[in-house]
Amino acid sequence: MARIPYFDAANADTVTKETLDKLPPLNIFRMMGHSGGLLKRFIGLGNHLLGAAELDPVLREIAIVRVGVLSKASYEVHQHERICRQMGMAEELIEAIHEGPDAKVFTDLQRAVMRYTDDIVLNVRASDETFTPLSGQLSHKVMQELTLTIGFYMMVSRFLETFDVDIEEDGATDGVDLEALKTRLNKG
Amino acid sequence: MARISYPDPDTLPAPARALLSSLPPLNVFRMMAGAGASFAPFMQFISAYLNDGVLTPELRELVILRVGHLCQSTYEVHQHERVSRTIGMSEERIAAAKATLPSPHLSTLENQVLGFTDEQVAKVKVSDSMFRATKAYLNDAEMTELVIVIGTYLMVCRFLETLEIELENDDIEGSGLEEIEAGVTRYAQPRA
Repeated sequence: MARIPYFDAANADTVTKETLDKLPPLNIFRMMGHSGGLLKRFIGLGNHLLGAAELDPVLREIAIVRVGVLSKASYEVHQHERICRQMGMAEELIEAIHEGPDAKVFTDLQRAVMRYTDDIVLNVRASDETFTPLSGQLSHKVMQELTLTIGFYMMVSRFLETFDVDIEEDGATDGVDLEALKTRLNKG
Repeated sequence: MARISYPDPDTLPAPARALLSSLPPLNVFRMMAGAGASFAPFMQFISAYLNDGVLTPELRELVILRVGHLCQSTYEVHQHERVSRTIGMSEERIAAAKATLPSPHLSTLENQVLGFTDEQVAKVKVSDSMFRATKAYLNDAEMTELVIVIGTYLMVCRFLETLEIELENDDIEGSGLEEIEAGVTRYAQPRA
């Protein structure tokens, strides 16, 4: 049960109402409606990290779910495991994100992303041991995208957990449509 | 020396180059101009709470400084101490952002919010008692913005420290916040 009531869209200003109307009815967005104009800008950044980045989507979801696992953010893990499944990621791979970087199912690159994510979440600055193996394989742009994505979902996890945002009832919503998002941003 | 090279502005897409040239000349923005499609939305996002937020500027800067100290991010603390001075905060209050709480230089509300910040950073989910005690001082809009700002600087400090962004040789003039607002208004793509 959320710690404060969800935002009542009937009280929304024009910008907030337009932003909420374009979003799926997820409880995270219903809660963040309280922040007014900041909601639109939060969504803008989140949408571009998810729908317009060069970072490989499987590597991205591994990092996001790992941040959720490390943060014990059940809503976050739930929503992004749903995205993992929609993208066709195997159940063993999703389970391995909970298990840790040494899980056998990871490729070398996926394992390097797991180690980098763990290091950044726990220690702020990634050590040479986790930074160098990745920076040798990913472009500078993608290294920046991955680092921002990890930090962004640390913020999201704290928001969800601190307000106790409830997971939606089964089937209540399909969540974010990533394909439609990509199409829209790439047209822009 | 940063861990990855700063992008050459001449190689950036024209919209990113135009946005970067309108911003204060800070190394964090020079680097992030190379982050591709997320650069302009990032700048719009930070401008939203820095220029149009509901938290008072001094409370916002105290929170940002607290996160910077907790993350041991020299760059982050340096830049926001400059912003804090520009908006007229005293040296005692700036120093209080890293002090043991409660600090006599901070109000009851500020001490409460910095205690909330400590717990938010360390534990992800704050306790019921901490949530309730803080909510007694802030409305729903302020509470949601506070949690978003704390989380944003966890992201920013990680970006700065992991990419080893260096401090500039000379400080910029003023806070830089107005230039950020003018830059995103003029050059950031309106799409969301």
